[in-house]
Amino acid sequence: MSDRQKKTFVITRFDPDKDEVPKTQTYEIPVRPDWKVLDALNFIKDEVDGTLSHRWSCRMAVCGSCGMMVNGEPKLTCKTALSDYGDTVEVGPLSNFPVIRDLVVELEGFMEKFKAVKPWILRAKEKAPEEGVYRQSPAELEAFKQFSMCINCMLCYAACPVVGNEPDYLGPAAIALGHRYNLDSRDEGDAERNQVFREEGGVYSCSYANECSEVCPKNVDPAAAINQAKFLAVVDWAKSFVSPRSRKK
Amino acid sequence: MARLADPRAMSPSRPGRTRTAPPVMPPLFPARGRYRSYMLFGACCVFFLLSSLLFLRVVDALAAGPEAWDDLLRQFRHPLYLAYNVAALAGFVFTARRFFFQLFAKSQPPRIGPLPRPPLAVLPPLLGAAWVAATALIFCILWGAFP
Repeated sequence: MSDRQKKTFVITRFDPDKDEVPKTQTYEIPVRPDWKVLDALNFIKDEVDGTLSHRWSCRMAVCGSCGMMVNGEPKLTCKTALSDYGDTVEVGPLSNFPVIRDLVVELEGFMEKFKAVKPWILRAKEKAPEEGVYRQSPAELEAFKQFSMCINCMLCYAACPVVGNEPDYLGPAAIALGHRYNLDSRDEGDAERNQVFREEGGVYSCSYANECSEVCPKNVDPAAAINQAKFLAVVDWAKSFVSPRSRKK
Repeated sequence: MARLADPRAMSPSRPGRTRTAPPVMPPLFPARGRYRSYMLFGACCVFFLLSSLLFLRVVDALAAGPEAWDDLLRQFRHPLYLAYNVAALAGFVFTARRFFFQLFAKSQPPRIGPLPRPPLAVLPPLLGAAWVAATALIFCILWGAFP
C-alpha cells in the first residue's frame, strides 16, 4: 500500500427507486500509479461501496462497455490513466443518454438507431453457396476499413451537441456504420440506406462539430463518415432522377 | 450539473421497465473546451449574412450611377464600417481555416464518381495553394493591376 497516493472521486449516483434526480457521492481511495479510472471504480465497488453500479467487461478497450464521462469528457475508463488527472476525478454517466442507475445508461434507443441504418450486407439477389464467396480486393477493403473499427462504445453520442437537442438524429456511430456498408463493394443496399440518411434526423442534422471524432477511442472518425455520407446521399438522390433504377455495381 | 438535454434524447421508442434519470448535455457544452471553436464557427455565419447584404448594397449603388457609388464609398470610410471589415476578415479567416484546412479534406468520399480522392495529406496543401492564388488574384483586381 506504500506506493499508493490518495485521490478523491466524485461519482454521480442515481437510484431509480429513491432518487428524483442524480446526485454526487465522494470517495477518497488509495490508488496505484498505473491504475486506470476503471480500476478505481472497481476498487470502490469491491472495497468501499458495493451499491455502485457501472458497466465494464474486457478491460482492454475492445468491448466498448465502460464509456463514462471523466471530468466532463467521454472516455473509455479502461483506457484512461488516472495519472492524467489531478487529485480529484469526476466520473458520471454518458451525457445525452437516460440514466438507469449510477453510471449505467439506457442502451435501447441506441440499438434502435443502429437497426435503422441496416448495418448488414444487403444484396438484390444472394449468390448460392456453390457459386463461391464474394471477393474483395485490398483497395476495396481499405475504402471502408476505418469505419468498421467502431466498438459501439457510444462516446461519440455523449460528445455530440446535436444528439442532445435532436432526439430523432441517428447519431455518429450509426451513420458511420451505415456509410461503412455503403462503401463495401459487396453491398447493394446504398439506395435504401441513403433514403434513411436523407430523412429527418439523418445525415443533414449533423452540424460538423467534429466532437465525435475527437473522442473516438478507435480513430474511426465518424464525422468524416457522416460528411462523406452527406455528399453521397445527394449524388444518389440526383442519380435517381437520371436513372431511377440505378444501383451500385 | 450540466443543463438538461431533450428528454427524448437516446430514449427507446417504448419506455423500459425502469424509471430513468433524464439525459443531460455534455458538461463542457457550449462554452468550454473544443465546443468553443465549434460555437465560434457557427457564430461567424453572421459575417456571411451581413457581408452578403453589403454586397447587394454595393451592386445597388453600382447600378444607381456614379453619385450613389461615391456616396457609398464615403459611407464605407466610417470607422464602424472599417471596424466591421476587420472583424469580418478575422471571422472569414477563422471559418476558412477550420473548414477548409481541418474538416473539408476528410469529408470527401473515397471515390467521387469515377475519380479516386487525392491522398488526404495532399488535399490541404492543394486547398492552401488555391486559396493563396485566389487571394492574390482578388488583391490584384482591387489594386487595379488589370485595366
